[in-house]
Amino acid sequence: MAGFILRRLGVLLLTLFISSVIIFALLEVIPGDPALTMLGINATPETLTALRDELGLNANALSRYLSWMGGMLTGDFGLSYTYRTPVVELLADRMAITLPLAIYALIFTVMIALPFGFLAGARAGKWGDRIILFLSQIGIALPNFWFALLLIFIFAIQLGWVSAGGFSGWDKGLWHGLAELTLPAIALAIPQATILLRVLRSALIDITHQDYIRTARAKGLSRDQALWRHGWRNALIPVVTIMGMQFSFLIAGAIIIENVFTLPGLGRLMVQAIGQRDIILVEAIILMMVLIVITVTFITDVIYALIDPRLRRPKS
Amino acid sequence: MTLLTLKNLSISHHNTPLLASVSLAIEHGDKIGLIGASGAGKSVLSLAMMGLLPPNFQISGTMQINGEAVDLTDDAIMRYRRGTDLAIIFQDPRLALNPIKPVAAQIAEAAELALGVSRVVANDMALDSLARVGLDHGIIAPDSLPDMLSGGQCQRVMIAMAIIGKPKLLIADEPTTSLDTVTQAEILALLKQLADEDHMALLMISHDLAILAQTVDQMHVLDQGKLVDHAASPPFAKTLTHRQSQQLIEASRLDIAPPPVASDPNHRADQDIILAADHISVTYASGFNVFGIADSNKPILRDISLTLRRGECLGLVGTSGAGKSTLMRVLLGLERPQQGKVRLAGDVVDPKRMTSAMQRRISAVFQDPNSAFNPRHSVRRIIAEPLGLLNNNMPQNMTDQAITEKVAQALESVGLTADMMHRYIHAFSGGQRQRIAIARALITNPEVILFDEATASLDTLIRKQILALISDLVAANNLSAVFISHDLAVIRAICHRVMVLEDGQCVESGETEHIFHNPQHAATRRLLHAIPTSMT
Amino acid sequence: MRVWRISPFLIASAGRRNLISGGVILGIISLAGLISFFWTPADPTIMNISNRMQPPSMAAWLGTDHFGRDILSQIMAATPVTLSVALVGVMIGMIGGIPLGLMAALIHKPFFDHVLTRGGDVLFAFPAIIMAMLLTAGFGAGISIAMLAIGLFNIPVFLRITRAAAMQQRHMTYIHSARLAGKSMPRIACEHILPNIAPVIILQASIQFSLAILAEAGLSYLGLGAQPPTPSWGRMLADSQTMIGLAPHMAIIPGLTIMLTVIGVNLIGEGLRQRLDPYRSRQANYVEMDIS
Repeated sequence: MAGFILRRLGVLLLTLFISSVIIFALLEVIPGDPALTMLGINATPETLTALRDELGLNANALSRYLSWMGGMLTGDFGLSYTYRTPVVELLADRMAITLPLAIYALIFTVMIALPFGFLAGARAGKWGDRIILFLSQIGIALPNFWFALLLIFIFAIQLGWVSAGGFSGWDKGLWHGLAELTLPAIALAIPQATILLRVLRSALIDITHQDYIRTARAKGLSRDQALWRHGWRNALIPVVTIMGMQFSFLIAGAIIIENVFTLPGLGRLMVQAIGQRDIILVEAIILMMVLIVITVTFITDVIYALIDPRLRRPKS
Repeated sequence: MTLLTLKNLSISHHNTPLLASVSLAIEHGDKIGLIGASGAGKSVLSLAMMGLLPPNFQISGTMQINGEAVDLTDDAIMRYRRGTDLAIIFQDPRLALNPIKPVAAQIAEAAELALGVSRVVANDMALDSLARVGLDHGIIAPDSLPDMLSGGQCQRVMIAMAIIGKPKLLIADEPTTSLDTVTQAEILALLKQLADEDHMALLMISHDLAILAQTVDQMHVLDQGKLVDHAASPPFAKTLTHRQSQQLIEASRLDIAPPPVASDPNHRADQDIILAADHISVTYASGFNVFGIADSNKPILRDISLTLRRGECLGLVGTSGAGKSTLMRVLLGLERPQQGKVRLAGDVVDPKRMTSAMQRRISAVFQDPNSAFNPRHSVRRIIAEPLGLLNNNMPQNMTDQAITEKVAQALESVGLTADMMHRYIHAFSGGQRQRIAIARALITNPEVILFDEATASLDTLIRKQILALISDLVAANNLSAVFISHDLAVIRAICHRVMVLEDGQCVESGETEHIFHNPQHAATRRLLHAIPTSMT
Repeated sequence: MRVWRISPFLIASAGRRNLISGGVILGIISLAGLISFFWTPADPTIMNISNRMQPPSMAAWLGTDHFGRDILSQIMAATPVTLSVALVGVMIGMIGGIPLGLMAALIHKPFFDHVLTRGGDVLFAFPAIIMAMLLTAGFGAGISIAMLAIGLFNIPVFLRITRAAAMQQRHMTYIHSARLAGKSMPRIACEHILPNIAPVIILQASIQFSLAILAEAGLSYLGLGAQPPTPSWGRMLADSQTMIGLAPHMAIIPGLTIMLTVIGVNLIGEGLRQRLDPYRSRQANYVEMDIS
């Protein structure tokens, strides 16, 4: 297992390195002068030169990449031009909303998908399965930000149970914070949960027809017992794969949902940073999101190996 | 008291009758064989007796266990019979085990269910049971996963699981079909031994009379869902008189002789050697690091040399994993060996530099009739595919009419009809598919054909027909052939010379009859011993 | 227990209901989009403040927005934009991903395979929206950026699925036979492997197409898609956000349109799956499996 984790960590670092090169290179090939874009046409030559120096634009690409990465590694993400504050502080503040939101949504996703997916898969073709399938057909087609709008319309405007958006911070306590994130998390979770549910359902149906389920029944297990004892873990293998990918969708989805609920998270920061052409900030946010996604992929791989012992061995 | 009686068991599925009025009585300790060709209804019968048929099968008739009637359609009743009164092992043992659960745990689960013992006791019993089937600590670790075991070991695990609840009857449904002959002989001996030790009744199901004949004491013949014949004691060949029984008996005798060698056998000139392999070694990379670079190597073939003369049939025999298929790919120029050279009529065979003139001279028939054809191509297109090798790889030089004629000829030469060329492969049975594969191999008039386990997935009736066909075609077209098999009986029926492979090395080679009468190496003796012979 | 493969299209009725209903939904929406090139009930860009936020009526079938623009006309005019962005996005993914996937599976070099799959993993770490933001930060917002972002995200998706499916085919012995017949690997890939993995790819394409429609809507909601005055479903929703208490129809109608389109695509995908999924033919052969 230790060897497995080390191998996956190697992959993680490699992926992160390549991603940083891609992000850097993409922003490098942008036409025009970043300093000019940031300051606008009315900037004086002096302020332009000053900004260029500040951004280190006069050095060559390699040394700029190295100093950028070096800064990243030591926690110095540079200074946001528009906010005039260290990027790292901005990121930390915003991350405190986006990350909990995505994790909260993931918990909802799993809590909805696993029981209903198992029910539908174990009773394929029966009434319960048909109803779940029909509802999932709608859920899968639901644009999450529209669903968020509908939730606001119903629960905030019509019923007045919650406020229509905004976030008053974690200072008021964990439960207060979670309550404010509940509606956004549900809006994020429902479409993803229906996808996960369908994956679990078809994995289970497939497993029902495997020879080893027949073997389990030959031992004296009933159909449901056999499916529970021998099908469940096998069915989780594709489910975990999809779940890992879904976390990146949840992070991406959070960008939109934060805008619907006016939550001051990474997504809103990103949209503002792009609007203001704050390149340093954009680079840092994107790298941070990629880091989250890659880390989740790593965690998924580890969970994957916990479920499927075959993966812990070196490949042959 | 009679252990189990079936009375007038009839089963149908969507109004298609699968079994008709099957009646059967099994006493304690009986060893009963059930033989039938594919599609006779053997597996339906075994699954029905276990109560494992899906609910959409219509079942009528009665089953009694120790005089007590049981309802085959009631899972709540049947599941308490499974594991305690009745146990079953299946074909394809690798698929029959849960891939992510240690084998000992899977066996222990059976003990918990059948005997109601605690987890701790069950674990100990599982280890004992593994030792009984010959898989003690020295052979495999109890926490091994099924994919680390060979097919034979998986079947032993299945047997350990089946016998742990001391069942009164063990049903073995084609238990050795996917195994090589040596492993097959070991599994059959093990089943027989366990049945004797536990006074357990055994119902063995197979399409191969020879396999059953050496294990069981009574024989039933199943044909199209009906029990048509019964022999209460050996020798079965005399007692079984029904037409179907006679066919099955006939098929299990592989009395085909190798084709006569056309050229003068005393003539040993170099130009007579059509295919030669010279000190072939192959290693496979195993284990990759993060960058995808192999960090260890596994030898597959070690210093193999062979020659094939014109008009000769050479057999390559060995158990699974001996390196037979790798050697075949090397001979065909599909894979380049790390060391050594293959020459085809004097030209070096190299995957990167095969000319169409060389490729035309050699062709192959592969084992699995399921994956041997592109399911989206018509039979005509499948058989005509190698025609590109003629006319300097310019199929457009050949008119449609000419292609159709050639394909029709090829189909007729393998005993099929020309009108079959417009159908798709799913419309054909296993035997017909193998004929089509042979037609494809023959279409370019090659000089050498390689057969890789060409009859392994066929039932005995079809196997004999295909072997006879191959023998005829080799003689008629003056072909040279390499025949790969794990079954020495098949090799004997068709090959002049045989080479025995073990762990990627050639351990013995010589004239087939000579090897049969005077085997030198232990591996050869094991293969010889594994041939099911006792028909009397 | 051999499983004889039968041609999936033999099960003629399989998935027909889904294919027809999905086809009808998507057909109506596409037709509305096509008609919008020649005719819309009103000019989708003309503002009429005195007539704003009208609920659906005979005059404006689906009502008007906060500038008094006709919603039906905007929906119709936005259809070709959404569909073409999604279509081009998926096409980029297929054109980029399928050949790479085939190469990863068929060029028998572990190093090459690893480089391609790892590269795919890296690309996959950028969800379409993040990619779109990255590109927008550099090149400014627009339809082509949205297409490119969705396309880039789809490349590793098709790379993975093609590689996995082709790996399975690679071990089929008919590939050996084709090589013995003197065919080159690229030719075998086109003649044998692609037709056999096409069902899997088509299925994935239908799934990706519906995801791409949702992604396009999300991008234009954030202002990263089609720019004004070109109407888009996502921006209509963004505009409706502050008015939702006053004029809920402004939010409900574009959202329903997106959902209906995606359901249409998904139904077609589901129908295709029922026709093409090897699992179905296995089920159809359950009896043969058991008695063989």
